[in-house]
Amino acid sequence: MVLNIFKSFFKVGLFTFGGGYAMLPVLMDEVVKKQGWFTEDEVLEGYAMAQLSMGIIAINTTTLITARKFNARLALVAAFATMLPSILLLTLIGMYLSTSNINPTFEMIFLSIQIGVGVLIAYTILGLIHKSALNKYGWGLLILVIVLFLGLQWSSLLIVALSIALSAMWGHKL
Amino acid sequence: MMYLDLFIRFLLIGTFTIGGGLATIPHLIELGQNTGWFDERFLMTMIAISESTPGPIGINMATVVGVKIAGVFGGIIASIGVALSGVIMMLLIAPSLSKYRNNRYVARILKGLKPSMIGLILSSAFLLWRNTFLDLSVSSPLLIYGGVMVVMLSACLHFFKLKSFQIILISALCGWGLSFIL
Repeated sequence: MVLNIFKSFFKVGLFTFGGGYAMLPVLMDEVVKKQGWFTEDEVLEGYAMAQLSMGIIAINTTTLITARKFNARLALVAAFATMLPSILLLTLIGMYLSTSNINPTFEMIFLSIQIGVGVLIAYTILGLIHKSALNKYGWGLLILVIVLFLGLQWSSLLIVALSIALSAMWGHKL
Repeated sequence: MMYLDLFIRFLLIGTFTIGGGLATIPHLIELGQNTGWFDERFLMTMIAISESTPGPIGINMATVVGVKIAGVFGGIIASIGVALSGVIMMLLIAPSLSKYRNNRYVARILKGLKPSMIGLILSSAFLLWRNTFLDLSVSSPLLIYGGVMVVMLSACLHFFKLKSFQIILISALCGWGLSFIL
């Protein structure tokens, strides 16, 4: 069982492109359809909770569903297996990047990639704003965060902590 | 000590990251500023690499940043650090998931965190956009190129529904082409 869990979640980690949101269909294919370990609802519920919690969505989902169905030990195996492809691959890339010299061709490529990433981030943010349908309190909080971070240079950790405290008191108005 | 420092910093980043890979960016910008380990240009490249390689974006970024700072072992430590608090929390709530889902305060916090996370991501995106703009503004042909790219890539995303790694691939190819012209 340990080996099967490891293999399946390693595959999920390896074939997920584009982060947490893209992971769901890959995960469904492997652990629901192919292995039959979980029902679709169990995965969806785990995914919903994982998204709302601290940490990395994909790892949280994996840990939560495996811990509920099996046990904590297998959940740790699954979590590590999901991380491992990333760690292996990105270590190789990271090592290459820290030894290679930046030449003019590379500079143009990196500059263009920066533009691409900028557009991707803008598109994601617009999607998030659209999806969350903020009311006036929501926009107020959003603007407050921008002022604290960019204007007053508050630490991002402190801002998250403050938001948690504020929403525990008044979150129902949002 | 380097490893311990790295571990604690990434543990903190993971603990205050809610809502996925992009939410680590403000924390990572701050990490770069506070420690001088990397600048925002490096971070932008790392985001591109993390978005176009398989695996969770948060883990990818932690690995590649960790390797840059402290070598192979640094990558492993940073990745485990960034995921750890989420994993522990999941193990804790797993036995009684429904109880937490219906808790009044949990529901409030989840609602309130959304606008604040968007605000944080938007602020850090602004810092990254500003850097790219400054890089482009060294010459007017570059600025025009940047403008054309933004319009073209937005169209690719919105109308042709291209995936993020395809967008990054197109950008890289355009940059390669540009290096022959300029």
